Amino acid sequence: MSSPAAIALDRVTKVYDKPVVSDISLEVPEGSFVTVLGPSGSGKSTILQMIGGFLQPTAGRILFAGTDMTALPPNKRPCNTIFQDLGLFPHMTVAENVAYGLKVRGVDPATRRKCTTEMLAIVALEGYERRRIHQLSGGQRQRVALARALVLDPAVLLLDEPLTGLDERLRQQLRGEISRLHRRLGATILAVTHNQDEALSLSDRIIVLRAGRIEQIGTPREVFERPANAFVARFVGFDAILKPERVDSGIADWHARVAGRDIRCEPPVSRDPAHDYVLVLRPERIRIADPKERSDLGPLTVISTAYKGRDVEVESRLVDGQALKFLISADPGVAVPASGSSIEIVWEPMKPLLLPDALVEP
Amino acid sequence: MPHEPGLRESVDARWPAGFLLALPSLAVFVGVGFIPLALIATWSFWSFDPDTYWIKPAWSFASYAALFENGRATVFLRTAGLAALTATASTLLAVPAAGLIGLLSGPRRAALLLALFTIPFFTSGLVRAFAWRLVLGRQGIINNALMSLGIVVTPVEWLLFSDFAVLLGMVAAYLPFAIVPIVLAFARIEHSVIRASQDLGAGFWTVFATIVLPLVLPGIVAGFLFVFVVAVGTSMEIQLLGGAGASSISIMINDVLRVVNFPLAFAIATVVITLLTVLIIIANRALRLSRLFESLGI
Repeated sequence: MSSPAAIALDRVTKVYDKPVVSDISLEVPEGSFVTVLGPSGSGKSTILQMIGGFLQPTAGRILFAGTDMTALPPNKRPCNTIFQDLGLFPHMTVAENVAYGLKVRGVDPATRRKCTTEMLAIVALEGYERRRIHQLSGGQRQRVALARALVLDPAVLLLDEPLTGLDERLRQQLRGEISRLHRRLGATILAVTHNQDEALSLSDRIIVLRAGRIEQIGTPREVFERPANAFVARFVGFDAILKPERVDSGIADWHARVAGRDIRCEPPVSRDPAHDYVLVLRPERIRIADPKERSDLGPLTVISTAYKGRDVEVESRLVDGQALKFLISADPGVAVPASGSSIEIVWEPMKPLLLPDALVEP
Repeated sequence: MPHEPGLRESVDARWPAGFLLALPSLAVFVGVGFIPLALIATWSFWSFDPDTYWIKPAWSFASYAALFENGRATVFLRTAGLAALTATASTLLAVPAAGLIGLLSGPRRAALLLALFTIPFFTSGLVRAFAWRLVLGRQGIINNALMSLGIVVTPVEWLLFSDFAVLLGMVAAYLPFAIVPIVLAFARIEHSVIRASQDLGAGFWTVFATIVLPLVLPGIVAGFLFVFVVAVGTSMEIQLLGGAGASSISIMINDVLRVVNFPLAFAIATVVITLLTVLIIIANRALRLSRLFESLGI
């Protein structure tokens, strides 16, 4: 038997006026980086606050390394949170901020100084000991918050939207920083975010949340390549979704019928009798077919095109009235179709996925 | 002088829109604030002519020398001491009250509680001070209650016409002056800061001592100063509730004006205003008190 998970949620529910988190069970293994991914209002912050001890679950248990700590207040839990707005102490220096948790725990001043110095070196803030918080840049503040939590060597580090509200350059830099700290210190990390890039690049495991329920748990690759349903698919970037008229199961491939055309699809990974199947495509893998080429779908009428820098977004309509948006390269060599023109499209070698149409709220 | 092109532009640059917008309030400040104060300060250096009972423009420090005669310095010290005591007591009461309003209540309840604290201002200060006589007097509510309960046989004398009564009346009257700045200071504390401190292992009292108290300190000092300044200038509570020999700076000024010694009265006023101004400037420099009011938009 393996050692108990650093954090386990056992059928946790939180109800305000209506359920915000419904019957969630999940595990964060020791040393892993788990991300809860979901749109705003999906209950991900509530989960983090219940783990941190700032909210009490309505039902269920929260276990740290196998020990039930559901009833403990925040200051008695072996985890530390990096809040979205950090909560750095404005009346203290950087060093005092980092040493705060040690001081509260009654660690002697010499050890405190030593640990603080080491931790500031790890987050590359040597020489900033005596600075005040308002003298630091956004990225430096994030690193102070990281150091302040990590110096306590928490069993679990909780990150609340760690990279939200930072500019792109800083985002990339910090993403690297967090990933490096995770590997170097072997820290167990649970992050919540609404940003799929963040989740995909940082985590060992992603939990996709929607309206307080888990939609899928898997590695980034599994979630990205094999989304469990249309909701997850759309969340990780499968924006081109079509409703088939008919779906036929096969042995190797399944076949779906869209606007009178027969389309070869991947067999569905998950089946959900409550929902019909939808056909899901990556919008950037679609291109416009040459006149001589055998197309995968068509004809489509181009409604509009929009220049997006790297790509051109084409909004089109099928003969059965379904809308389809996709991206074509914005290279000068690639012709942009005129509005109103008729086109055929190709997505080979990608095969569309058939997924349960869970787009409607359950 | 020849007309220079671009003169209008340079005038505009020298009198920017901000200055024009500030002009009305600046006019009020200079008209009813600065000019009268300047006159008082100037006339305090003129001489009092006992023959005509009038002042004449002969520069002298006589009024300032007189500050140290006839026990006037003692009145200064006593007034400052009483004001400091009032301000201390008010601040001690205001911190938990403001904490309740600014930190623990939602915005709606906070507004309601703050309004409740300002209701006493709806009645005249004179009436409020007088009301204490009905509470504290020999036949007052407290003495009647104590006697009917058999706790005392004769009325407690020191309740009224004593320093205790004055202190009670002043604290009751000026407590809201201490509460408002402390509420503002509490409201400026970000919730995440307190959460972070709990998250890092601090219990209730540690959070209070290491995070909350240092962050509301400017509000506490501002509240103390507000009450202190008002308490230094008051005479009502002392006249209505104080003992026979009780005096204060404002009563002293009143007495001096009764014999129309304007320069002396003005000298006392000038010293008080100067000392209070210096006190406030020092406190503001040290703790950036003016920041507290940024959130109000003033």
